[in-house]
Amino acid sequence: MMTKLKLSGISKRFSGRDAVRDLSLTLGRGEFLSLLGPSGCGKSTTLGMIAGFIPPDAGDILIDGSRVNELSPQRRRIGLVLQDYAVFTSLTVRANLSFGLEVKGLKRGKRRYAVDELARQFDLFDLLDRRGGSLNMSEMQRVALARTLATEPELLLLDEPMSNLDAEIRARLRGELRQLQKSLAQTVLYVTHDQAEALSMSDRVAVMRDGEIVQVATPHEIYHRPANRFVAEFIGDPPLNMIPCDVTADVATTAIALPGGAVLHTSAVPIASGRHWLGVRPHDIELVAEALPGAVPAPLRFVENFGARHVLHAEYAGDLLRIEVVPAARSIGEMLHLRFSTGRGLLIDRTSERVVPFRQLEVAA
Amino acid sequence: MSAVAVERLRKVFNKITALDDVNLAIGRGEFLCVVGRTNAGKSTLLKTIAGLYRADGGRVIIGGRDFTLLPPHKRHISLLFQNIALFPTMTGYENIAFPLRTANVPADAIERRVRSIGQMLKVEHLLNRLPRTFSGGEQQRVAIGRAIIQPGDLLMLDEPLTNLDASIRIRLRIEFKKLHRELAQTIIYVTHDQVEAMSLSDRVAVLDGGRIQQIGSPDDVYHRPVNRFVAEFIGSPPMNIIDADLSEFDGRLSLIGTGFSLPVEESEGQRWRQMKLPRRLAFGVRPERVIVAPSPTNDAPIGAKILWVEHLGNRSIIALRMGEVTLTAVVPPNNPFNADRRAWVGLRPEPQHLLSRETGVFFQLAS
Amino acid sequence: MFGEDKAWARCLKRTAVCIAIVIAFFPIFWLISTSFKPIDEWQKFPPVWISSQPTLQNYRIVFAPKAAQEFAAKQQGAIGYKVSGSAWKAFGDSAVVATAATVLSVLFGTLAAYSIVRFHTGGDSYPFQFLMVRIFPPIAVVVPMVILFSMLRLSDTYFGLILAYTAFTLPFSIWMIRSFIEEVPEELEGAALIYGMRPLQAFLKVTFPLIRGGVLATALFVFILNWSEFLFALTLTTGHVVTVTLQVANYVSASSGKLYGVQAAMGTVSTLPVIFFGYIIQRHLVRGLSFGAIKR
Repeated sequence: MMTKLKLSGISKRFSGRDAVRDLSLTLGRGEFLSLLGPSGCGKSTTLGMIAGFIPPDAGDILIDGSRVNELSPQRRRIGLVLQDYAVFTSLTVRANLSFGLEVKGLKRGKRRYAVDELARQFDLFDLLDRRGGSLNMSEMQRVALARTLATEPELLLLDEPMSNLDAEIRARLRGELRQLQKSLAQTVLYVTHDQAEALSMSDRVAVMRDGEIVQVATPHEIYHRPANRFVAEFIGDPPLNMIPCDVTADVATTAIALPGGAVLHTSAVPIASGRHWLGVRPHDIELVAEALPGAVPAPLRFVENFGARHVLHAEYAGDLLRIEVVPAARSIGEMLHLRFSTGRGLLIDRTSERVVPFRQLEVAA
Repeated sequence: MSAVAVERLRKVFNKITALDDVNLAIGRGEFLCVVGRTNAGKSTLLKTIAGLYRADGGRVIIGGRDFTLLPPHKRHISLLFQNIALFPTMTGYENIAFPLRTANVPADAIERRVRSIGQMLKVEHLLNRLPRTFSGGEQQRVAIGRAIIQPGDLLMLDEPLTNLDASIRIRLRIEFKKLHRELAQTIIYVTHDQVEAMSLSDRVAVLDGGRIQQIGSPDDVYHRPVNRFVAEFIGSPPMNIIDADLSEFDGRLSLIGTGFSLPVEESEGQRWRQMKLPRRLAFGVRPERVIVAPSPTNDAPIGAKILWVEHLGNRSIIALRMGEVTLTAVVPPNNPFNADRRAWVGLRPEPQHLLSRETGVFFQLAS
Repeated sequence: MFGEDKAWARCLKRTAVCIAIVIAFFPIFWLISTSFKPIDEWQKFPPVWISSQPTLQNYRIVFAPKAAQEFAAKQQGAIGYKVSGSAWKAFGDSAVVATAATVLSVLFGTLAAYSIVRFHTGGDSYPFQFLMVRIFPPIAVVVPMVILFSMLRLSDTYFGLILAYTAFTLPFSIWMIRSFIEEVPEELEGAALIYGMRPLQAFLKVTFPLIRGGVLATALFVFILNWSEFLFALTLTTGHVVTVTLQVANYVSASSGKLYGVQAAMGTVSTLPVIFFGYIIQRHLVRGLSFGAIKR
């Protein structure tokens, strides 16, 4: 796959603070890559540097192999859709779309026809004569997207384009955006703080924290083999459970002792003996009958009823554990018996916070 | 007697009816979520109950007393605004203490209350600082402190999590459940995110166009939606509503849609006929009830094209094109499905999920 | 954009700025320079830029009329001299009128602005109607004003002039303070109301501290307008009330002769109160002038 965008060691400092630190990333042609991280992690700054609005303090930005640091934004052939869409409110939708085509260099005659086609493609045909300022958020987003895609950019940059939309619309739009991207084979860099968006839409996800990229991998990798505690806790809804445990590392095996008495045995893993964390996903916890070996008791404190599934919050080891289950009648205070035995888990080193994946051998009481 | 009752409430702005005949009866200590799209009237409802807007019709009754004409400062209600509205020139301490100071509570009593709230919400380190130095989540917690320091008849929260990062939202949600249990106060919580509503509430009120579409427990609105709007709004993903024609051939009923046909089980047929259904109707299928298989089976005989798949780790959401219809299905993780492949689906339309195409109302409201 | 800082572009920018500075500051420079010139340099051609024999005589004449008479006596016949009033009275009168008119203008302006913003008083076009008043060139209404004042027996009274100044600066006050109030989210007052305050309390304790800077900035601008106002001072008074502007004008008149130096001295001194107030409230000015700074 050809590389469309390459960031090489770019950094940016704002009033004494490192917003972006020595960041390197490559984006292939036609790839959908999400830049995922909490507010303030530097993802929007990175986008600003790629777009050309923020000059980097150091490092190179290459588009299609050529260095673009010196180029002004309009010469970089990129498309940008920001959080607030920037639809021209005093112009009609038609004029907005026409603007995009004008930038591409289309002559007036051809433009009119092209606008109609664009409107059809983005389901904006009925809105063509409406004023930009009279549209609702989701309509504005479609106009902004259509206008930008009309210019056929080499690279499309999206900065949290869904954050102004209702949750209901976001869920629908995710799939549609992805479909659109694939049909156009458009290279996309998508900035977001929402891990569900990143996981559901991307070919690869780059997780950022405090100005640095912590891990770049496919959604599957990011979810099942997070590099460290931050990624493990950031990805996944409901979030990962962190259980304090005592690890006894031996030559051939490792024993993980959990509060309440259960012990898991796994093959040897590169971790020192001592206190660490066991990361368990809520849907990897089983509810079992009372006396089963390896089961730990945990009283039920809260139930989140999502209709098709329940998320139970049970008290364990001084904290609340989240367990995702099939709906059933349960009462608050009822004693649950949990087993972490589905063979997948993340051992998190308490000092380095690195994740050590393991495969369970068998369960001992 | 309910703690809070809203009767036929009406509010009009400049010829736009924001609230139209809203009725609510909320029990003491109940956690009610009002959920709806932007501009459905949720904030207007809260502000009218609080007294910031004067109702154009109807009544607001709190604790048995008619509050409709009372000014806000006499109402003993707390409201947490969407944009938080902490007083920018006052410290965290002064913000939280505000309601007590205005009520002329003695300074040492105020000190004790603020300290204890500060501990409970973990904002002690913010008490001496100004709001502009707080993060979004911290501002939220201080605003909550201000809202709960004076025990009142009603606590109202206007989209408290909306402006926060997704990851913080997910974790903070449970804090509201804990807060509710600790305070045992009547709470009205407004949001556009039905996931929050389902997670937090004792009952959910679905609001659209200034009118309440349905009030019920999370199970009620999920499994027994009253109309198409509620069915398509609640659930992640929400129910699939598909138009189809009911036809009878050779004594067997089936639903014919554009590009597919679903036979009705013979055992069910009797019940369907009893319902006296029109020919043109629609049916609903929950995404987790759609059976998807990589090759045709008895349970999944209908061919479909996979439009996209979202692998979320704990489950996968699949969008399929069945004939002219787009369906959403939810399947367990670790499945072989990917975009642009073919798959086979199976649906079983149930009589309680049949609805009228014209009115959008489900035929059998109770099952 | 980036890296395009060519030398000639920089040079052009600098030249333009220099020209602008010269144009803006030249009158002030001339004023101060003339105020220190002895009588023979007042009207010399070619013009004397900076006096070679600077003197404080002009200032003495402004503030001590007795010295002025001595001076006239000394200059026997060289100039026909009659000082038509003491500068002290002018400063006093201006202080009273300008301050009172500023206070009233800002007070009513704030109340009106609050009403317009929060309660939409008068409808959507009301603020524009106010602005229309300001668009009228004052000279067009001077004659009716004089007649009105004389009918109401307000001519040549402090109260009358204060009233006129207040009326004419009120649209400006309302317009400026309106934008500051709009910056304060309604929810802040709403929160104050919900948590127990009455509306007036909420305004004083919550809203006002946030617009204080803007109100002070408005007050300064209004004060400048009042202090430097000439037309109404001239036409609506007949000698009992004398403002600084009138006094300055008096130094170049049929009765006094062309006392440019003295006029310049009075002019220079009369800028001092404005500078003084500006300095005192400069902290608030910066905040007040940054319209729209509150981020949502």
